[in-house]
Amino acid sequence: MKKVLANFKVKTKREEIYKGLPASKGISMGKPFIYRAELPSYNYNNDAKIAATEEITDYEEAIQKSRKELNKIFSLAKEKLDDKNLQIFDAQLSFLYDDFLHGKVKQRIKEEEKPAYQVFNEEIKNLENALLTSKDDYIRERISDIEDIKNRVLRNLVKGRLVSKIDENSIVVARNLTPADTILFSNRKLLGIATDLGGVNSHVAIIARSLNIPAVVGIKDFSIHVQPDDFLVIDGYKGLMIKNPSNDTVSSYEKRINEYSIFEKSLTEIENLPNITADGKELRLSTNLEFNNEIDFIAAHIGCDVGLYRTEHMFLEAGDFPSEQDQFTQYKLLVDHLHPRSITIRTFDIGGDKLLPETQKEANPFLGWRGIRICLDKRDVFLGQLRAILRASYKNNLKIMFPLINSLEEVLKAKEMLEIAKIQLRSEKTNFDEKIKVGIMVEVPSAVILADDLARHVDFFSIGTNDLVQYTLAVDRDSSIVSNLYQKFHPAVIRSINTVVESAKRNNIPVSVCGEMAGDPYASFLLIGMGVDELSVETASYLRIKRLMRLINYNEARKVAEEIMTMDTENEINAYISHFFNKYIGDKIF
Amino acid sequence: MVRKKVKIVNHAGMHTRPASIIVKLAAKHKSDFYIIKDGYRINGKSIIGIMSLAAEYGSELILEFEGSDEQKAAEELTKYFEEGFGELQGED
Repeated sequence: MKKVLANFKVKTKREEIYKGLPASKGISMGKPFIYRAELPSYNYNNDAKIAATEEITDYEEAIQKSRKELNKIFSLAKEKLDDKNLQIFDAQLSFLYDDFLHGKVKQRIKEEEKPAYQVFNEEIKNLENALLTSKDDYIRERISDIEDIKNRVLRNLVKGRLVSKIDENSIVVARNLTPADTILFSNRKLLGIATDLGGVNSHVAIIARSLNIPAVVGIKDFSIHVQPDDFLVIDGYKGLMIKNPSNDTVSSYEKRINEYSIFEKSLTEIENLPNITADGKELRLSTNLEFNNEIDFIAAHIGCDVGLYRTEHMFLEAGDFPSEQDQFTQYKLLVDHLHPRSITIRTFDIGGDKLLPETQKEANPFLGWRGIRICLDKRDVFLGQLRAILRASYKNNLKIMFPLINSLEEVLKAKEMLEIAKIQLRSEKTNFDEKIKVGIMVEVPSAVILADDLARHVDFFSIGTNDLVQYTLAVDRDSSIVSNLYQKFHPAVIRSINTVVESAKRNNIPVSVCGEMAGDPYASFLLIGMGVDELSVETASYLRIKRLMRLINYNEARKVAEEIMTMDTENEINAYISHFFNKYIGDKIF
Repeated sequence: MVRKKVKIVNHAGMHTRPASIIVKLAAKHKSDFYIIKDGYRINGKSIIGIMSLAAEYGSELILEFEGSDEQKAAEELTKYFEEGFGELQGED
C-alpha cells in the first residue's frame, strides 16, 4: 500500500518556487532534512527494537542536562525575576528532582520496552489530563507551568539524536533556528539552510555566511509544505527555494553552479596580493571570526587580521558561560595560530533571551538585557573573560572590544573592570599586554551622538552596522515583515556612520566597520569612500571584497561618498551608488 | 500510621507552587507520605503525583503518614494545608 502511494506521489510532483530572502550565497541541490525544534516530535519506528538500558541512560542524561540548564538560568537570572516567577521556576525544578517520576519512567521503559521519549511524554500527558478534569480554571491552567519543563526534557532527549541523524548531504528546513540550533549543525557539512522566519541579518544568516553554506530565510510557511521525500534546490543568491525542480531547472542550475565555481577559483588568484586600491591607497581588510574551522582560512592569508572575534559561540556550545581557563585555552589557540595578525575580541554579546526563563522573557529582547549590560551586571563572568583575554595577550596582538555601548558611564565601568583584572594579574605575576588596546562597538544611536565624548576614552571604534541600522530605524532585523524597511542606505544610517567616522578622525583613533555592510559590495564601496580605515568581513566574503578593493579608485570613491552625504532618500542613494559602482567596477559577479 | 482529614481552603487550590513546597516539606521527614483524593492515592513526595490530584478549592483530602517521625510530619504538613498554603491573606 505504502509503495503504491509513493509511486503515485512521484508522478504528481510539480515544480514549486518559494521566494524568501537571500541570506547566504551559494547554490546546491539535495534532499531536505526537516528540523522541528520548538515542538519536539520524534517519530520512532514502532517495530524497531528498543535497547532499554540505552534508553534509560539517555533519559538520565536528558534529565541531568535539563537540571543543569534550569539551574544555570536560575543562577543567572535570579536577581531579574519577580517572586511569582521565582516560585514557579523553583517548582519546575522540583519536577526534575521527582524521583518517583523518574523511577516510574525507567520502570516502564524496562517493562514495556518503549522509548524514553514516549514514556516520559505519556507520563506528563497523564498529569495534563488529570489537571484538565478539574472544574477550576486556575488548576487547569497549571498545564502551562508544566509545558516548559516537558518541552525542555523532550528537546534534550531528541536533540542529541536528531543531530547525529542528519544526513550531511541535505538541506536543513526549519520554521526557525536558534543560534544554539545552528551551532549544533556547524560541525556538519550541510548543503544549505532554509527557514520560514528570520531576516538577512538574523543570527542564522550570519552563521550560515560564516560557514559558507547557502541559506534562504523568511520563506513564510515553506517548512510546512516540504516532505522528506521532496527534492530541493536552494538558491542563496536570489533567495529562492525550488521544490521538486523540473529537468530544465536542474540543468540550468547545474550550469550556474559551474559558473560560480569558476568565479570562486578566479578569486584565489588575488589571494596574496596586497589590499590596495587601483590608485594606490592602502586599506585594511580583516575578517570576522566565530568558529575554529575558519582559522585555517585566516592563517592562509597574509595581512588578514581578525576585526571581530565573536565569543558567544563558546557560551552557546557549552550552554553556560565558559570558565576563565577554557576561555584562555581558546584565546591562546587563536594567538598561537594567527600571530602576528591582530585579533579583536569582543566580550560576550549575549541576549537576555538566552538567559532568562520562558516565563520571564522580555517583550523586546533587543531593547533589554543584553551585551555590555549583562557583562556589567554579571561582574564575575565579565572579570573572568577580561582575565582570560589579558592572559592570552602575552604576544601583544589582542585587542578588547565592548558591545552595545550606549553611554560614557558604561565605557568607564567596563574599563574599571579591565583595570581590576590587570591589578589581579600583576599581583599574580602573570604576563600580559600592559598597553592592550580597548575599543567599543558603535551600534546604538546614543553612541553615535556621543561619538566625540566616547572617542576620548577609547583606542578605536568599530561600527556594528546590523544593530546600528536596526536601532536607528527602529526596524527589527529578524522580522521578515518589515525587512523592506531595514535599509542600510537610509540617509539617517549613512549620515550616522559618517558622524562616527569624522569623530574618529578628529580624535585620531582608527574606525572600522564589522557589520554586514562591510561585506556588501555596494556598501563597502561607499564605506571606503567615507574614509573608514578597516573593513572586517565574514571569511566567505573576504576575497570578494578584496577583489573589489583592488578595483576601486579611492579618490573617485571619496567624491561619490561626499555627494551621497547631501542626499535625503534611500532610493537616490541606492541609484547613485549602483550607477558609480557599475561605472568603475562593471557588472562583474560579486 | 497517622491519618488526617484536610480541606483545600485557599481559592487557587493545590497548584504548582504549593505542590512544590509540600514536596519539600515531606522530604524533610523520613516517614512515607500519601495523599488520597476521591479514591486516588498518590505519593506525597512526588510533585507530579500531587499535581495529578488537581485538587481545587473545597476538595477534601486524606493525608497518610507512616514511619518513625510520622507525628511530626503529620503536624507540619497538616498545618500547611490548614493555613491554605500561606495564601489566605487578602482573600475573603
